[in-house]
Formats: sequence, structure tokens, C-alpha cells
Amino acid sequence: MTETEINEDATLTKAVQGDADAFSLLYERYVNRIYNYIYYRTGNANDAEDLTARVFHRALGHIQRYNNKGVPFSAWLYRIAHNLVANWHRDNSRKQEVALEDNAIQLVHRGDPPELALVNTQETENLLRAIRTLSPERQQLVILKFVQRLSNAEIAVIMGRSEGAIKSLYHRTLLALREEIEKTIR
Amino acid sequence: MFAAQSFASQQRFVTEDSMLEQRLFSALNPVQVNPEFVDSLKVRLTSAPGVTVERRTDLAAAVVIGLGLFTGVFAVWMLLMARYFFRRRKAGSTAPD
Repeated sequence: MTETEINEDATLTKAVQGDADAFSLLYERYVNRIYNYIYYRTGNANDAEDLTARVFHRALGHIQRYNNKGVPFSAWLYRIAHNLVANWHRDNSRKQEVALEDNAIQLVHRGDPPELALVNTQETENLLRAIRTLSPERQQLVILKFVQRLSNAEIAVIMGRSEGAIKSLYHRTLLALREEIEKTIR
Repeated sequence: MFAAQSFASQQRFVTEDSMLEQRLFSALNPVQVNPEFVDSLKVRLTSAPGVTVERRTDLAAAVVIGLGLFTGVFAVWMLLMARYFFRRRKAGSTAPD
């Protein structure tokens, strides 16, 4: 067990006992990751903020039920986020476009010439559109792998699967994504 | 011949997978969360009043209902008594000597 894990366990124990400062430490540690996950699943910043707030309110309300021996706290938060995003998609059955403004800004800041930046933005747009055609489970995997840069073992814990199952799902996801991109090029 | 073709096809898939992975890594950048949102949510979370569930006991409910009933019955009784005394006084004043 690493020092960070020990610290997190101690903080969690305090948070479960109702210590607000301990909960705010956990909040600071995970708010970026949860926001990013929701942002890429919903496609816009306003809904991402709204759902992120709901995730942490729900976590705070149910923290006494959290069982530290079961899943890591991060996995627990991701599961809350995943369920809330699923409800959000159910309520907003209309398909939403992925907001690209932030990515576009990052591309321009890399110092690319404007024409190249435009091509890159278009490519990114196509890629994100292809990702959004995947099943929620595959989208989750892509976000955890490429946005959060998590290992297969970490993703397995969050998604409640074995590492082998994640590896297999990952290859199927890449294949599906490639087919979807080829479809959009044609 | 078949084995060579199969190996070539496998190699093509591996290359395509790694190219797609590169594209995904460069396209999917973590976005920066609005710091104002982070701070305001933190304040809302830490200053949120604790939810207290008020438990209403059966005894308290019985007392409230009993008091209500008693007040109602008492008011009706007072009205009836007032009417009775008023009628008696009226009958007394009109009675022949």
C-alpha cells in the first residue's frame, strides 16, 4: 500500500464519519477527473458542471454507505457519474454535439499554422463524433484510457470487470471506432 | 503463403491500432474546469446544512388530535350552553305572573 493510499484511507475514514474538511480534500482530488469524464460524455460544459455538482452532492449524501473495503473511492465516484450521465442521456434523448471550442483553442495554442489548425479541428470533430456513436460502456473506456490516461488495471476496477475483459473490450472498441471513422470518410 | 498473408494482415491491424491510439491521445485532452465553479461547489458542499429528519411519534400525533377534538367539543358545548341559558332567560321574562 502506497503513502497516498494510506492518506486517502485516513481521509476517507474521516469523511465517512462526517468530517467536512476531509470530504473537501477528496473533492479537490477528484473534481477535475469527474468533470472531464462527464464533459466528454455529455459534450458541453454547462451540463458537465451541473452533473459534476450532482455527483459530489450525491457522494456527500451517501458517503456513510460507502464501503471502503469494496471499491476504491474514485471507482465509486465514477460509478455515480456513469449512472447520472446515463439518466441524463435518457432524459435528453436528442443527440448532442460535442463542444470543440476548448480543443480548438488548445490546437491553436500549439503554434500550428491556421490551415493546419483547421484541419486538426475537423479531424478532432470527426473523431469525437465517431466516439459518440459507441455504446456508453465503450465511450467510458475511451475516456478513461485517453483523457484520464488510466491503465487497464485501473479501468477494470472502475468498470467492475477483470483486466482481461477490459483488454478485450479495448480492442473491440478500437476496431469499432476505426470502422466508424472509415464510414465518415467515405 | 497463407501464414504470410495472415501475418501481414495482423501487422496492418497493429499499425492501424497504434495510429488510432496516437490520434486519440492527441485529440482527447483533459479540459480545464472553471475554477470559479470548483470553488463555488466546494463552498456549497462544505456549508450545506445537514439534513435532519424529524421523527413524529405516535404519542405526539395523538396529543395533537386529542387537543383538536377537545377544543372542538368544548366550543360546541359552550355554544349549546349559551343558547340554553339565553332561552331560559327569555322564557322567564315572558312567563305570566
